[in-house]
Amino acid sequence: MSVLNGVKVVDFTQAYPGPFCTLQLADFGAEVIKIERKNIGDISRYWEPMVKDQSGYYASINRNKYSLEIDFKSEEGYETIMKLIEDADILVESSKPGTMEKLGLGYEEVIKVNPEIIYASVSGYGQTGPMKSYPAFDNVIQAMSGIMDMTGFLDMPPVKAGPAIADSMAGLNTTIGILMAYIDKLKTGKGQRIDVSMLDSMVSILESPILFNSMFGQDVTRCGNNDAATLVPYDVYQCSDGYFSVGLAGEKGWDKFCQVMDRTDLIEDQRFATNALRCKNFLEIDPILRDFMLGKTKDELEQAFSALKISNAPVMSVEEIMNHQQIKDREMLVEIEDKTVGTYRAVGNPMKLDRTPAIIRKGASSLGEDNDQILSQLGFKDDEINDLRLKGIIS
Amino acid sequence: MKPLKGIKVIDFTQAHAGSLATMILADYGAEVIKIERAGVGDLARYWEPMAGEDSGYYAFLNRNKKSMAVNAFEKEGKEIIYRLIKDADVVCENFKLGSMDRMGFDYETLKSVNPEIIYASLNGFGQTGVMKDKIGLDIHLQAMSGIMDRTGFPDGPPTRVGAAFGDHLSGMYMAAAVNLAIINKMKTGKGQKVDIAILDSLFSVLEEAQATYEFTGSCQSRAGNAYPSMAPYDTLKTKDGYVTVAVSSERQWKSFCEVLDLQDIFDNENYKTNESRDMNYYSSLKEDLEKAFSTMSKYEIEDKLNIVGVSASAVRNVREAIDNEQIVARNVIREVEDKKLGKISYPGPVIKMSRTSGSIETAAPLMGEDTGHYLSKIGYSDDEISRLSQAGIVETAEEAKQ
Repeated sequence: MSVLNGVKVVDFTQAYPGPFCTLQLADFGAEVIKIERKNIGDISRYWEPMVKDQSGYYASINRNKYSLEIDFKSEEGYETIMKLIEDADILVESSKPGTMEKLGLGYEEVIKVNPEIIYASVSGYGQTGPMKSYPAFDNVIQAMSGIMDMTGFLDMPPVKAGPAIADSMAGLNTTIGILMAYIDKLKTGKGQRIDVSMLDSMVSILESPILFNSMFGQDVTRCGNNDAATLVPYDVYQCSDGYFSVGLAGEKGWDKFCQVMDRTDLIEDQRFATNALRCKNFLEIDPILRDFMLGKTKDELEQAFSALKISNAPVMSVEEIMNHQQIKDREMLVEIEDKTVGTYRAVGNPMKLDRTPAIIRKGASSLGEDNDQILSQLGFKDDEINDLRLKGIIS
Repeated sequence: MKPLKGIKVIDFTQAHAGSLATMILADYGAEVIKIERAGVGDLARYWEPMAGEDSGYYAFLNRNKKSMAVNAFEKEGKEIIYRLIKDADVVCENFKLGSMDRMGFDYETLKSVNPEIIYASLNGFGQTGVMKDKIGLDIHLQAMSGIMDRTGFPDGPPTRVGAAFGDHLSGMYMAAAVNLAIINKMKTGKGQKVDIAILDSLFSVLEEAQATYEFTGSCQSRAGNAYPSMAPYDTLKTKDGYVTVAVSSERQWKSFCEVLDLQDIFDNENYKTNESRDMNYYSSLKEDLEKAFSTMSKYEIEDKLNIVGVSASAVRNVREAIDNEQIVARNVIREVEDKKLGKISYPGPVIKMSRTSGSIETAAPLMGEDTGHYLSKIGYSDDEISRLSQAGIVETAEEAKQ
C-alpha cells in the first residue's frame, strides 16, 4: 500500500521543475494525470536524448504518471478538464504567472468547482513581486540567486552548477508544500494555494554567505574547491588519472595525512603544525600536497587515505557513479520497461521509507495514451469519448 | 494554524543536513525538541560566521526549535530520552551509522518504547550498502556523485557547487519523507523507518546526463555555462561584470538583437538559425557578443531583455542577490532578534502557503534553554531536576551560560 494511494493530482506542469515535483507524488502512489496540449504535449517530449522519436529525458521524469492529451482551448476540452479538477485533491502547474488565468484555470476559477483543492504553482520568480512575469531559465535563476557568483575559481568566470538545480530544488520545495497542505487537509478538510519560486529556493541555500553579509557586512565570493581561510588541507587535487578530493574536517589527522604522503618530517614542521598555521602558510604547503597527489592514481590515493580513516573521494564521472556498487546497493537505479523508450535503468527515489517505499510501477505514458481510461473513470461513456475524438478535442 | 501543529519531533540532528530538515518542520508548526549533548552542544554552535562565542549558522538552522541538553551516555540521561519519546511522533538523527545504536537509541529499541514512532535517519551514504560505514563530508559527496565532474569549464578542473548543496538537498528530502510518513501514520496509525543518504540525493538531480548515458552510452562532462543545442545560452562578460542569457527561439533571437541594438550580429549569415549559432558559438559568436557587451552594463542588459520576454540576469553577488527588489518583495530574507547575536538576517520559510504559512516565531534556543520545562512535563520534580543538573546528567540554560 502506498502512502498517497487514492490521492488524485491534475498535473499541468511541463519541462523539469513541476514534473520533478509530481514525480515524487507519483512514486509514492498518487494518481498523477498529466494534462498535455493536443498534438504537442509537454515540451520535454522533444528534449535529448531522443530514442526513436521519443525522449529519454521525458521518460526519466514522468514515469508512474498518466497522460491526457486534450485541446484545452476548446469549450468541451475545457469542460472536461474542469470535471477532472472537480474530482481532484491537488492541482500542480508550472506556467508563467497569468497563463493559467488566461486559460480559465486560475485559482479563483478552480475553487468555484472544487473549493477544497490544493493548488500548487512553481515558477521562476513566484506569483508576486515586480519580476513575476519575467521568463525564467535555470541558468538565469542561478545567476540572479548568487549561487553562480559563489561557484568556480576567482581567476575564472563564475560558473553554474552543471545540472539544473534551481529547477529540482524548486520542484522539491513544491513537493514539501503539497505534502504539508495535504496533512492540513486531512485534519481540516480545507485546501489552499501554494507558491514556490526557483529564485527563492536558490537564494535560501546560501545561508552562510548571507550571514557573513548580514552579521559583518562582508562580501563572500567563489573560492574554487577549497576554503583556504578556514580549513587546510581540504581541496580537490589533480592526480595522475583524474581528480581526487580529500581533506581534514578539523584539527585532528595532520600526522596521518603526513604519513600517507610519506613526509613524516612535516609533522614536526612548525609552519604547518596546526590548521590555523596551515591556513596562514597555505602557499607553502599547497604545492607540496599538489605534487604528492599528481604522482598517484585515484585508486592509490583512495586506499592510502581510507586506510588511515581520512575522509576522501575520487571525483567520479556520471558513468562511474552510475556503475558504482553503493548506487546498486541502495537501489538508486531501477530497471523498468518503458513503452516509449524501451527498457532502461531509471533513477530510484532517494526517500527510503521501509513500510511505504517508493514504487516504480510503470514507465512514462506516450502522449494521450491514457485518454480513454481517464475519461471513462470520470464517467464518460464510450460514445461520448468517441464524440470528443471525432470533434478533435482528444486524439 | 500551521500544518504540522501537534507533531512532536525529538531531534538528535546536528551540523547542517538534518538540522535543515527539522528547521522546515519547525517553520511549519512541528514542536521540535533538539537534544544537545550536555557540555558540548550541536557542532554548528561552533561554525562560522561567529560573533564572539555565538554562531550565526546555528541561529539560522535552529530557529523555532527547543533545546534540551542531556548526557545521553549516562543511564539516567537515557531514561529521560525514553520518556520523551513515549509521546513523540518523530525521531530525527544524522549521526554516523551506529552512533544511535551505541547510545541505546536504535530503531528497534525506540520502537519498543513507542511502537508507532517515525524514525528518520540521514547521513552521507545511508544505512545500507558497501559504503555505509564511511564518513562523507559535503565536498566528498559532491565529488563522488558526479555533480562536481558536471560543474566547471571543460578546460578547467571539476568544481564544487558553491554552497553546501548536498547537505541542503538531502535535508529537504528528509523533510519531504517525514511528511510522507506522517501522512501514512494519520491514515494507518503506523510508524516506520526513513533512510536518507546525501549521495543518493545528489545522484537523483543529475538531470539529463544520466538519461544521456543510459540511452546513448555517452558520458557528458562539464560544459561551463553553456547548454548543448541552445545558443546563445551562456554567461558573458560585460563592462561591469557578467550577465547570463538564454535565447530559446528565433523570435527571441530577433528581439535580443533588436533591443540590444546588435543589427550587425543579427545580419550575419553565420547566426541565422539556432543550429548555425550553436555551430559558430565558440569560434565567433561569443566573442562578437562580448565585444558588444563591453560597453553595456549587466543590469542594463538584464532589464532590456526581460522586458521583451528574453530570460536574462546579471550575475549577482550574494549582497546584490538579497538586495534584489524581487527578493525583498517576496520577504525571502527575515530579520530576527537572536537571543545572543542581536538583530541578524537570514532566509525564512521558502514555501508560501496561503492558509498555513510558515513563520519564525522564536529565535534559536540557548543551549539547554528548555531542559527544565520538558523535564517537568514528563514528570520530574524540581528536586530531581536540580539533582540531575548537579550530577551533570542535564544542563539548563543558566549553567550553559557560565
